[in-house]
Amino acid sequence: MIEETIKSSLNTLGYAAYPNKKVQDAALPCVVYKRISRIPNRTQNATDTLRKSRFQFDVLASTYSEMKIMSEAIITAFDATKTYFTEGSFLLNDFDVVDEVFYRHVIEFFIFYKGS
Amino acid sequence: MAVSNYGIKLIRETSTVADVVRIDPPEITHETKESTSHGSGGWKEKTPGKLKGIEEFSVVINWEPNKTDPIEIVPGEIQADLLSNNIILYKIRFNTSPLVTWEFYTRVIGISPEEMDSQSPETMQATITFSPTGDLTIN
Repeated sequence: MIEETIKSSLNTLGYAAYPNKKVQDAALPCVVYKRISRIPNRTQNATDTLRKSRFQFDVLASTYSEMKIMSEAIITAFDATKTYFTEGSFLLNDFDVVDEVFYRHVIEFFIFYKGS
Repeated sequence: MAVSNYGIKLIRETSTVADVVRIDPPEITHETKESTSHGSGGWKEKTPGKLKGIEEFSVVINWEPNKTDPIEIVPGEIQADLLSNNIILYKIRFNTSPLVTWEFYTRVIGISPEEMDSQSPETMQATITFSPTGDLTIN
């Protein structure tokens, strides 16, 4: 599954990663990732194995600078490359979110891959 | 009574062409000749030209330049059709009940890889253009 690849890729970068929600006692900084959409690559005969999915990464940190450095590192690693995902990953958008608990930065990628 | 246009097949001789995304089926024409005269009462008149035709048409496929698998027949066989300029039997099978198939002979006259935009990456595709010749059989 693509989610496993996302988790292992973020771990490779040195960041803890959780699907959909942060584990309650998880240390900061960390990344929470979730699927926003999956667009099928349909043909007249079948649905191709190539997938195009939109994922959101929430970077959570206890300081603003830590959040910024981590966000830039993830963008540098994943934007416009086939290093981590077989068919490529591309930055769509990133922005800060006001949050009363964490310093939070949201990053959205289109990820192309083959499989589920 | 309407039906969905999903599931149309492009068939080369007896093999279905894989990875067809879009088909713009050929226009079938039967031309007329203008026969307006001074006695037409101010309106154009036309008479049958007795020439029927199958116009050029195009198909968009998911295209992998390095694919050579003969079962997939794309782009290998179609590319060979273009290079040879041979007339090959192709069929368009509409996914209706019962199935309806248009059969005709055609040349492949174009393989055009679609735009590859780094600002908006998408599935790699190509447009194949066909130029039918001769008659149409509908089964």
